[in-house]
Formats: sequence, C-alpha cells, structure tokens
Amino acid sequence: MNELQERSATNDLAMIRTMMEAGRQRAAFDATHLIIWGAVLTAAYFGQYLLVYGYIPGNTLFVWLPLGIIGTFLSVRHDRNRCQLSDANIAVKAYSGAWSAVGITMILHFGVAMASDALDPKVITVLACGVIAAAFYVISLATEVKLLRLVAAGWWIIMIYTTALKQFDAEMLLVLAGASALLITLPGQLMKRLAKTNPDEGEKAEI
Amino acid sequence: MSYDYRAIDDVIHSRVRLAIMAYLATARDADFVELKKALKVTDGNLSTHLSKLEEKSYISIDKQFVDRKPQTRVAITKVGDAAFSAYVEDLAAMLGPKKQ
Repeated sequence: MNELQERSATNDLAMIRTMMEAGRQRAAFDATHLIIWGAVLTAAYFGQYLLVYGYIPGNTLFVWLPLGIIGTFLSVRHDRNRCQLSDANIAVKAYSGAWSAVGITMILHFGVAMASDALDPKVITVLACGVIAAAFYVISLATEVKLLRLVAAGWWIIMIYTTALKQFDAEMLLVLAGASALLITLPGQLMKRLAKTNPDEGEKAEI
Repeated sequence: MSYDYRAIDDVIHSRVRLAIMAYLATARDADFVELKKALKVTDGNLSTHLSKLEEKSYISIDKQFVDRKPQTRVAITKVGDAAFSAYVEDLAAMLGPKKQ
C-alpha cells in the first residue's frame, strides 16, 4: 500500500472494481460444506450398497442417520469456528438458500416415504439428482463460477439416466457414491483452491 | 456543471480505507486476517484504518473468542453502504458527463 503513489479517478475506480470482485468471490468460495456433505453422501451411498448386499447389518436409517448427524455436526462446527457471513451478500444468500431447499426437499420426501413405507429408490434418486443440479445451477449464476454449471449438467445427466432406467438396481448406489465424490466434494475442493489463489492473481489492483 | 472536489468523503478517500470499503461492499463482512490478506497490509496499518472507519460508523467491529482464539469480525453498516455509494458516484462525477 502506498498512499503517495499517483492517484486518479479512473485508477481508483479500477481498484474499487477489483476489490468488490474480490469481496464477492470470497463470499462465494467458502465451499467447506460441499466437501463435508459430498463426503457424507459418498459414505452413505456406499454404506447403503453394502447394506443391500448384506455386507453390513442394519437398515437404511442405520446408515443414513449417523452420517447425517456427523455431517450436521461438522457443518455446525465449521460455522462456529469462523466469523458468520452476512446473508446480505447475494452469493452467500444463494448458496445457503439453494442448499437449504435441497435439504428440506430431501428430508420431507425421505421422512414421508419412510413413514408411509413407500420409499422408492428410483424416485428418491431422481429427486435428489434434480434438486442438487438445480442448487449448483443457482449457485453458479450467483457466484459466476462457470465450473459449477458443468457440475449441474453432470447431476442432470445422472437424473436423466436414472429416469430412463427400466430396472433400478443396487449398482446405481455405487454410481451415486462416485457422483457425490466427483460432483460435490471435488468441486468443493476446487472452490477452496480458487479462494486461496484468487486474491493474489494478476488483476489484483495496486493499493 | 463543474465538479466540487471538496464534496469527496475524506475518510473513504484514503486508498486503504477505500479498498476496505469496496471489499466489504460486496463481501458484507470479513474477518481481520482475510482483510489483511486481501489488502496486503500489516496488522497495525489495517487496525488504524479500521478504527477511522469505525469512528464514522461506516463499519462495525466485533471482537470475540472462538475456541480461545481472538477473532475480529468487520462488517459494513448501512451508513457505510450509503457513504460508499455516494463516494463512488462522486468519483464517477469527477470523470465528467458521458459523451453522447
């Protein structure tokens, strides 16, 4: 920072734009929740696969409930350990809103389906893929991270593939475990890397 | 119409404070370390500039302990938002009207 360096209105406007962009991106790139929930879903789908083939005892709740609790605990701990971001930031609002919508939709569907003994693996898979794709698409628009549109497209492709399946078998659980790792955890990791490298990259204004 | 340079907000006009306000205008809030990293300034320098912005109520500073570690959170206020918008408009006015 050099207060004495030559200043001009255009120079200042350029710096303002760069800093505003940095602020917007910082808010967008806290992707720890993606990493946590991607890992939880990978483990849950893989656990469900092992359950279906009898490699582990128990039932669906036995697999999903503990993992859901672990995911919630890790998310809450992550939020507690850092300053709370304001929801006045449109990127943060879109990010939290989109994932809350996914969570509410899936919990409602899962809860009602379990209670009424009408859990259809194909329906819940199609629904999950659709809402996850929608969430990534909304976040990509809010954060202007184009990579997330590819991730959304990936989930929509899985949704289309699942919808077209005549027979839904347990092998699909392996596909979903892989998709959770590749299309949730990995983008989360990439976004965290972007968050670390962005402030030092080329367009950084001289302050 | 000529531009009155005296109308420019002196508190925001400092280069570092302007950068802080621009960053917070979109991020809305940030912790101290993050701001320091984004602005590439020293702890002392950043503290001084944050104090000046806080004096004018442009930002709020919240100090807390998380897991026994001190954490300073800085957030832009409504007053700060309005002041920053006015500053940017003044700056644009300095460049003169757009040619038709």
